[in-house]
Amino acid sequence: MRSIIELKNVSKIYQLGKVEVKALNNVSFSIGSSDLISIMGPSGSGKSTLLDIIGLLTKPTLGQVFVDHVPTTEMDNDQMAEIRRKKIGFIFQTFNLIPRLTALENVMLPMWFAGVPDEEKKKRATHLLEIVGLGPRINHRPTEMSGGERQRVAIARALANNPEVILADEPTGNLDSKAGEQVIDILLKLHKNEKRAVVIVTHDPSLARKAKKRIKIKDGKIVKRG
Amino acid sequence: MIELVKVAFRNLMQQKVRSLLTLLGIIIGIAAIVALVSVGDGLQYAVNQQFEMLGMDKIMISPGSPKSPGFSGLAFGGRALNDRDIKIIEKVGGIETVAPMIVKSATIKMGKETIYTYVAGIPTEKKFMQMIEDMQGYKIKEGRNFMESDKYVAVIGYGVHNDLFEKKVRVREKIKINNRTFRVIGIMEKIGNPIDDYTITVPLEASKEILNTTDYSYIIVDVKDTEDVSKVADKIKQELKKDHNAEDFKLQTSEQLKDTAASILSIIQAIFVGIAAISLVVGGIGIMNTMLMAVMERTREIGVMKAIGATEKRIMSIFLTESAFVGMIGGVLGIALGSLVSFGVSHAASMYTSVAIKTIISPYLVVGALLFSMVVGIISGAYPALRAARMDPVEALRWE
Ligand SMILES: Nc1ncnc2c1ncn2[C@@H]1O[C@H](COP(=O)(O)OP(=O)(O)OP(=O)(O)O)[C@@H](O)[C@H]1O
Ligand SMILES: [Mg+2]
Repeated sequence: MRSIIELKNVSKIYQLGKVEVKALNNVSFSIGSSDLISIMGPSGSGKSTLLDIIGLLTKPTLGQVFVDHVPTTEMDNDQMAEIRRKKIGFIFQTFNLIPRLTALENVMLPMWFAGVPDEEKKKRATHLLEIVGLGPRINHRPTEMSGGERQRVAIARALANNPEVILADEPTGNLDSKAGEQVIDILLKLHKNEKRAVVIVTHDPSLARKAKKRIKIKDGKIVKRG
Repeated sequence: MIELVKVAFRNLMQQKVRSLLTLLGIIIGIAAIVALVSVGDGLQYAVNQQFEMLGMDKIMISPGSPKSPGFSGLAFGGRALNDRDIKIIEKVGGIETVAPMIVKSATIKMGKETIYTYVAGIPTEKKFMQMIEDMQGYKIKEGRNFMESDKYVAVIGYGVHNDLFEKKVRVREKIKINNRTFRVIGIMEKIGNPIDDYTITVPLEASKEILNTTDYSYIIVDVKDTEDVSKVADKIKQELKKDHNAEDFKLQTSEQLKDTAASILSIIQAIFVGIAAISLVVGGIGIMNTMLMAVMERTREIGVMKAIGATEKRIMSIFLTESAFVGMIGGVLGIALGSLVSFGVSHAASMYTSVAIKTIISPYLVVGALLFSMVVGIISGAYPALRAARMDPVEALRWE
């Protein structure tokens, strides 16, 4: 299996006044194509920080991150933005849609950043919204939608530029169980049918168990791999 | 690009009241510029037309120091100008005619009413009449103009006819100027400025008699060839200086007069544009403030956009477009308001002061104001946009 993103001895240290907070402590970890990975751990253990580093939103304080075996240490902000745009799709606990844009426009946004032509943008965004079951609601604003629907728009947005890796940080954390199941269903299908790598941070053990690779993290350290 | 504008528009519509308040400063600034520049252009145009009428082949001489401001036949000091000076001037070559004029205030009596106003004495020979008519744009509305043989007759300004006395003064009526009876032979059309409209014009010789003077207020020289004007002017200056033993007169060609008028106008305009610029700076600071607020409020959104792959340049352009948009809308509204004010001014001017100012709103002014307001928007938005672009995505995403 080809490794897409690889972390080697990564630490992320936050300086809070005189106190050092080791959000991640010497973590090594790799994501291969078509991996399904679950990350669990108590609150404040460093799960989101790990996703930030995998998603190239920030650089580690120590250690190295490779994308397609290329080190990212020397990359500038624009190069990191380009990798995020092309290879990574983010899904957040709080959906994070742009409230002034319709569902369709929200899904078109990453394609706009990628310079996809107008026609194609619209076609592809419509198609993605149909896949997540929101075909009839493409022109609705986020405020006119339920939490589950919003998260499905967010999934469609994450898929906009056809990423190899999807990073979901507690995607069902703000949803009731039924809406949550729907969202998980879609994510698992994406992994199974389209062979995309999916990384899910979750507190739900039954969901975690569905992943082939399971990671437990505590105090910034990986304490268990499975 | 279309997307940028669309997104910017949505963002602004989201905060209508705030956007409108932000716009206020820039609207006022642009409106002020448009109104002032257009009224100024109108004035400039009016002045130019006045000089077109005057002709560019005239030299005007009046008593007084050459350093005294303005051009006035009523200036004090220095030796007066009289027939001796006329003789000297006439000897200079290249001159068509030399016309002296007297302007002085006098008491006017009609029936039991006594009123002070200006009396002007002008030469009534045909060649002078023609020149003065051309220059001042005098037009007789009623009655007739002077003839060479006229003595105690008067042509009255429209104001004198219309409302100087309780009763209207009509052609063939008698008025007393400094106790000498004059017959009104003509009424002039309204000229537009109060001094001209309230002046009574009489033949030069009669004016000398009733005003008890042989000193002239102005001497107007008509040069044969327009190209020679400055040469002739220099020569006259030289001759008069030699005779007076001093430069105690003021000599100006129409060209110089025009330049003076134009420079006074442009100074006034510059001052007003300066005031407008200050309000634009205030408007710009308003935009900056609003944009900083918008950037802060949308911190999380900025984080999201970065997470899904927006470059710093892209974030920057989103916010810059928004502030340019604010500037442009302010510009459009400002131009509209400014045009309204400018039309109002010209309307009021023609209604209350009888000075006809045709305001001119040139396409250059419109395009310039629009571009300028956009530039103000962009400059004011630059720092907020930079802040947005430089945000750390992780921190932005966790912003509450
Ligand atoms: N910007 C920051 N400055 C200082 N400390 C930070 C910062 N971001 C995170 N931390 C700290 O790093 C640690 C890991 O945080 P992180 O958000 O990754 O935890 P988490 O596992 O995602 O928790 P949760 O389940 O509550 O989301 C925490 O102790 C947190 O306080
Ligand atoms: Mg977290």
